[in-house]
Formats: sequence, structure tokens, C-alpha cells
Amino acid sequence: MKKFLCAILVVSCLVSGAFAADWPTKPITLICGYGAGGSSDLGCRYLAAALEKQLGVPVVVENRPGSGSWVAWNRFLHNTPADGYTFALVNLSAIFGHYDESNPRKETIDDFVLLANQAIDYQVIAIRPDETRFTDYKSLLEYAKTHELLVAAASTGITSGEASVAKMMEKVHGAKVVVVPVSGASETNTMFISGNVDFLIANVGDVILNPENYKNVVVFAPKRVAQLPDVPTEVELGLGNYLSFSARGYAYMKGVAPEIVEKMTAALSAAIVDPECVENMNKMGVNVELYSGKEYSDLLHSQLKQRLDTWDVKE
Amino acid sequence: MDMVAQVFSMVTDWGSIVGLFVGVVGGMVIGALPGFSASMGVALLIPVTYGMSPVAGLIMLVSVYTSAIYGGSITATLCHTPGTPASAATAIDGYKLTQQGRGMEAVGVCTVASAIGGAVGALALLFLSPPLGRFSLQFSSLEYFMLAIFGVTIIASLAGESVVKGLFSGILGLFLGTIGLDAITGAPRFTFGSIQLEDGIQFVPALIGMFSISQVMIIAEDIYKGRSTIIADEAEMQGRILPPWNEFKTLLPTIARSSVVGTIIGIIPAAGAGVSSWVCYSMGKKFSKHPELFGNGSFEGVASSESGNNAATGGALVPLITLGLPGSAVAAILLGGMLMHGLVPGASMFTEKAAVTYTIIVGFLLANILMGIIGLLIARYVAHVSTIPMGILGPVVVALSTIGTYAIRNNMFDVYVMLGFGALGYLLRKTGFATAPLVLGMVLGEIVENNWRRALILSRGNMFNYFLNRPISLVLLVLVVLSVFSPILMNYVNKKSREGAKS
Amino acid sequence: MKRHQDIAIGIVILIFCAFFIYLSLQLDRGSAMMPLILLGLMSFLGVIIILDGFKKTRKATEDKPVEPFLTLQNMKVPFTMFFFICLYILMFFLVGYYIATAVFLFASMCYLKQRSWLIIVAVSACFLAFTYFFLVKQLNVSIDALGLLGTYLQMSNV
Repeated sequence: MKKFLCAILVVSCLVSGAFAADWPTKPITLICGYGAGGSSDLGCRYLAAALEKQLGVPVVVENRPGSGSWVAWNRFLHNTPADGYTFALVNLSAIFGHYDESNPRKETIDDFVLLANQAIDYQVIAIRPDETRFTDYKSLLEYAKTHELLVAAASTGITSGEASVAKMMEKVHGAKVVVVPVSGASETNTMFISGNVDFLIANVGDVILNPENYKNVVVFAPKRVAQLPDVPTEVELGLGNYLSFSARGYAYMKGVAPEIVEKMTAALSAAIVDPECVENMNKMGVNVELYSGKEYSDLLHSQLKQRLDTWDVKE
Repeated sequence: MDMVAQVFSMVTDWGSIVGLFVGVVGGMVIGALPGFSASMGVALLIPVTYGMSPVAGLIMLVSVYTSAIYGGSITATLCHTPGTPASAATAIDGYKLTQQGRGMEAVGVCTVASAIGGAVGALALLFLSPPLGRFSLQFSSLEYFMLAIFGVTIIASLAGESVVKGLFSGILGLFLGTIGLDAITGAPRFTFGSIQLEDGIQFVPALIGMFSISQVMIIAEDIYKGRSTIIADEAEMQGRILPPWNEFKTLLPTIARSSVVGTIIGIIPAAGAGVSSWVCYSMGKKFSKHPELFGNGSFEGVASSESGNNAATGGALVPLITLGLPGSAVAAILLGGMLMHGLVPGASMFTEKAAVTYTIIVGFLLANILMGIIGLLIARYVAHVSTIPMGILGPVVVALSTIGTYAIRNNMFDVYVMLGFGALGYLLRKTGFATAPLVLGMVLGEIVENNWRRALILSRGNMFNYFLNRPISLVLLVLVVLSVFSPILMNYVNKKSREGAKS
Repeated sequence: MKRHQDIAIGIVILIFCAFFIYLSLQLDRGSAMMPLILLGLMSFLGVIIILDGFKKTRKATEDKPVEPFLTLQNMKVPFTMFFFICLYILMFFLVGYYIATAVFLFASMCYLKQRSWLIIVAVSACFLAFTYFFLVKQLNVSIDALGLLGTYLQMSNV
């Protein structure tokens, strides 16, 4: 039975290859591994609307939440026909899952065919505006050498952007940082605002919504970000060259006909910079940055290398 | 005064009124379907609000939130099919009342209690938001943990006939909550290598299995014993929407207490409507003059859990609106909806954007009232569900539960979970294990463990000092101690007074 | 003399606990602590339930014999119903959601002693119309995507 169905899948791939020239002829499904109504889902929905304009066929968002999108990716990579009619939202978890110490995934970044990146959100360190023990990034690091500081992080280990920054502070600067694992970005924020942890590692998108709550001391971007023009980068401060961000983009599974990949990449690239889509994303505090094809792959590999170095993990 | 006029004109705008109606009715329908919960209702309606004005759109979303919580209790009462996790407590007593032919009154009490609870939550939101928002920041891992422990102490009071078996159910629920990825270390526990179990056993499918599927199995049994409808005899069906005044009067203190407690629990980020309904239910039982009726068809039971869960919706909006910190799944989705309409929740909601904020809150208050009115109007008709032959109702409940469970995550695995818990629920019910403690245990399991371990880290190795420096934890500790020892104390006092009466 | 069923239930509980205690011991300490505490409590309660069962067995007399909770006889009907539900869900993969639902509603209503064909057909039709127009079309529930191919896609993903 299994063999027979595999054969069907293979045949359907071949057939779809033959018809790649007139792709798309039917609705396209975008798999979103997060629940309806969340920020990832809304991003997908805005993109789907813009992509419909490009491709001329309906683009349907299908939510399959579970295990930080891995339920969706698993099904997408292994059990979905590679006919070009299904693509998925990918973020950095898809890359780091393989290196997760406590729960490693079989899949690596190379199992996805990366199409285009929609959003990049750099990480910042913020302290409370009334903080007296330290006032900037340098004094924070200095203080942390002698005093243990608490910081909240969504999940632990290499998969977590926050925990990785904390690890870097420890490794490069000798700071003593203890990570409190919580369930998500809003909870890290709550922990910080309520004074339960000493400082905050967050994304730019989180700290620009209510700026009065945060004094941002450093941003881990290659150059200053437009939303926070007064916040220096780590390079500028001369304290290191750590880069950290979260990225959200779209991918196919392997086996999709190259012509389709090309067409889809072009359509996605156009949809991502669609003015209406960009405006909606900005409203959510998300910074749109388009990378496609090889550039996109390089971007993710650079972040992968950075974190593998930080955690001393071999590729 | 200027503000009042502004708010009034925005609230009476056509768009807002349409949003209010669509939200309330849509929420009731979605909430009544098993599996379709408040968070799903809100998520589904967000795209609908694209074209609306921010005020109208948000009024619609908050209306859906509160009326979906209420809608769940209608099916919970009439078919033992809780549509949302928050109405599981209502199912216990509501269904018993339906069997006694008092389903219409039970729906009526649900409606009034929900509307009052919701309105109290909305009033708190309207007048006390900023201080309540600051209050919510006093809660952190240790307080969540203590609150959950307080919840655990309730388990014994839900135990039913056998305390030992009830406790076992509760602890089994807590244990089932540990399945999945360990939130602190990320290591998989008891997942047997299945990615589907990494998020743990999904609560809603388990609940639907335990309540609805097992109920249908019991229905099948009843039919073969010769019964045909839920109520024993059709002639017994009472034609009143609310219980007689002298009976209803006794519910008012319960409703008042549950509304206040529910609002406070709603404010606490980790808790929400599910925890609130159980806490209020057990408090209702503790304070009741007829605790023996709880579990056997008590209007007080229905009233306390229903006003508790709807009051929590108002509370849950407090940290979201004042601080921009969503404490629950629904609040997180609402945050997305607010941002989409260019409203950034936070301190500015009560300064520059005050008019819009107050309009939305007033809309929320009106939604609760409208929900009450519509509920009372339809109570007469929906109550007739209990006269439908069980042979039709059973299969329809199964089919609805199945598609509802699937719809939560578009995932067949959840349907298998529902099936498994259906059989488990049946066996537990037949062998004298109450299912209510199991449900409560599953609600609390994750909160207890994760927050204890977080609190250990936050205490920087000195738990004792940390504890002493957190007054709310101390208060909660007192509550826990009282909750554990009050039955013993009460027993002692009762015994003494009886001895006193004898001599 | 017949033993009280609590004894059997208690033994099932102890086996359950033993199995999960064995699994817990293979986890690291932090992860294992909470499950072990809970399993310990559950085992303790299991023992009490067994002892209770013995007590009840001893107390039973000729006029008041031990009443079993479950017998094959009284489990027949509910578990037939349960079996129907299982078949229903399996049928999603074989014949698709709509046919499965129609067949299930028909069969189970007949089994639950509904005699009026008109009502059975009307209820099934209304339900299918409701799921199609409201749930699938309006709320985007993708249940109709399950079918013959869906079998392979969905089952292997568990």
C-alpha cells in the first residue's frame, strides 16, 4: 500500500513537472505552523492577499500549529506532493531545530528550498528607564561580571535567540547571565516590565510599540535600524560584532520543478514589497526586508554559523 | 463631559451597532459548537474586520470573546457538550438540571449569571483599568504557582462519592499535563517519539472526549434501557425561563461573589476563564447552604461558574489594554487585531486615545448586556434540545464534536485524542472516578510545574527570602492553608455545636 | 466469592504507574521530578483503592453481593457505539468526510432505535449542509481534504 502510494506521489511529481509551464492553474496553499490570529498568521494572510494579485489564483492560508511549527514542517517536507501548489512559512526555528540538544530534529535548512525572506527583526537589549545599576551596554556588561543577572527567554538553547545572546554575553564578555525560560515573547516582556528580571533581550518589533517602557542600549544589527535611530550597534560601541535577528520567509520542499521555483520566487518577491502588504506589516511592528534565492540562503547560513560558534556546536 | 458625548456618538454609530450584533450572535454560535472556542472565534473574525472602522471592528472582536464563552455553556447545559474549556464546570450541574426537566431555567440562570459576570468585568475594565493593570504586574511565576496550588486544593471538593478516587483523577490530570516537551529544558517527556505529543495532550480534544463522547456512550446505554429523551418524561419539562424569585434570590450573592473573584482571576495572566470558572464553582460550593446539591443539579453551581468565566473575560483585557501585555491566547489574538487597526495598546490607551478605548470598553459592556437579552429570548427555544430524541442527538453530537476537534488545529491526531479520552471518560465515570478533577488537573498541571521551576530560578537560590518578599504569595499561601484545613475545621465546629445542642 | 472490581482497578493503576515511573527514571532530574512525585501519589492512592476493594469484598454478604461496575454484558451497547465512532473516523480516509458522515449518521441513528427514515435523512442532510456551508466554506475547516490520498498523508504523520 505504502509503495503504491509513494508511486502515486512520484508520478504526480513527474506529471506536475510536465505542466510546470502553465503553473499555476489551481489554488495554492500556504502552510502556517502557527495558530490563527497570531502575528505569524496575520503576516501570512497579508502576504497571501498580495500574492493572489501576482499569480491570479487564490492563495489559501492553512494553519497547522503544533510543536513550534514542526508538526506543519514535518508534514510539509515529508508528506506533501512537491507540485508547487503548497509552500510554507519558515523561520529560524527551521534551521536550528537540527542542532537542538534536548530534542534534535532530522531536518536541516538544506531540506527546504528557500524562496524569499519577508521580514527581519533584529534583537536589542533594553533596560528599564529607571535602572540605576547600569546605564548602557558597557556598564551592563561590566556590572554583570560581578553580579548575576536574570533575563527571560522564550525556550532555551540554540533555538532561542534570547538564550543565544545571553550565551554570547557570557562567552565573549564574561558576564554572568541566568536565563529564565518562559513560553513566549509577550511573557519575556511581562517579566521585564514587572521587574522580575534585570534586563530584556527582545526584538525591535516588541520594543517600539510602547517605547516608554524601554531604554534600548544596543542593537545586534550590522547598522542602526530605522525604527530605533538612536540605538547604537554592538560594532559601533566597539564591544563585538554579534548579529542576531529573527527572520520570517517562505520555502518549498525539495523536488519542485525549477521553473516553478523561479516563477514563485519572482511572484513572492513582488508580493513581499507590495505597498499594502508592507504597510500592514509595519503596523504590526514588523520590519520588511526582502531577500530572495541565494541571498536568502546566505542570510540564514550566516546566522546559523554565528549561533553554532556561540554554542560551540559542530555543523 | 466632552468625553462622554464623544464615546456616546461613537458607540451609537451604525458600524459599531452592527459590529456589536454580529459579534454577539456570531460568538454565541461559535462558542456553542464544541471545539470552536473564543480564541478561534476571534481569530476567524479578524479578517472580517479589515474593512471596518477600528472602533467597530474591535467592538465586534471583544463581543465575540465574551459571548463565545457564554455560548459554550448552552451546549454544556443541554447536551453535556462543553463548547469551550471555560464551561466544563457548568456542564456538571447544568446537565443534571436538564435531566430533571429544568433545562430552560438552567439556561436562563446561565444567561443572567454570564451577563452579570461579564458586566462586572466590563465595569472594572471601564473604571479601574490602570490600577488593576499595575496590580497584574505584582503577579509572577511564584504567584501563578501558588494560585495553581490553590486550584489543586479544590480538587478534593470536586471528588464526588469517593474522595480517594476523586483525588486520583485530579493527580492523573496533573500527570497528563506533564506529557510533551518540558517547558524549562525543552526535552521531550513521554512523547514516545511522536511529534504530535510534543505540545502535550491538547486540552480541548481531551475535554470533548471526556464529556461529549462518553456522554453519547451513556446515551446509547440509556436508549437500550428504554429511555428516549434526556429528560425523564416530556411532561416534566418546566416552562419557566428563570427559577421562581425566592429561589433565584438566593443565587444573587453567589453571582456577585463569583463576578468579583472571576474578574480578579481574569487579570492574572496565567489563569483565565477556565481556571476562574472552577475556582468560582468550588467557592460557590464552600459558601453554599446546600453543598450536597453541587454535582446533582445545583443552580448555584451553574451560576457561580458562569458568572466566574464571563467576569474573567473583562479581567483578561486589563493587562492587554493598559500594558500591551496579552496574558492569554485570546488576548494575544486581540492584540494582533488592535495593531492591525493601528491601535497600540499601552499607557497611551488612557491618555491620547482615551475616547476610542472607552468606546470599545462601553461596547464590551453593551455586548454583555445584549448577550443576556438575546440569551433570555432564545432560552425557550434552545431548551427544547432536551426533548429531541437522544437517538438523533447522540450521533449529531458525535459528528459535531469530531469536526470541531479537527478544526482546532486542522489535525487528525486531536480527533484520536478525543476518541481515546471518550473511552477513558466512560470507564472512569462507570467505575466511580469523577471526571471534573481530571479536567481541573489538566488545566493546572502545566501552570504548577513550569512556574515552580521558574520561581526557583527567579529566587536566585533563596526561595525562603524570595517568598517573604512577595506579599501576594503569602496571601495565597494563607488561602491554600485555609482551603485545605477549612473542611476539617468546619467538621470540628459542626461536631462541637451538635454536641452542644445535645447536652 | 467474587472480588470487588476496585482490586482490579487498583492493579491497573499500579501497572500504569510502574510503566511511567520506569520512563521517568530515564529523564534528567529536573524533568523527572514532577512526574515522579505525581506517579508516587498515584501509586499510593492505587494501593488505597486496592485495600478498599478488599475491605468491600469482605463486607459483602449473601444479600448484598459485590456489584461489579463493568460487565461484558453492560459494556456491549456503549462500546458498540464507540466502535461506530471509531469506524466513522477511519472512514474519513477511505471514502472522504461527507460520505463517512452520512453513513455514520444513518447507521448510528438506526442503532439508537430511530425508526423514522424521513427524520434520519433530514437530519443527515441538514448536518452535511451545515458543515459544508458554514464550517468548510465560511470557517475554512479543511476536513474535506481527507480522502484516499489523504489516508497516506495523514496517517503516516502521527
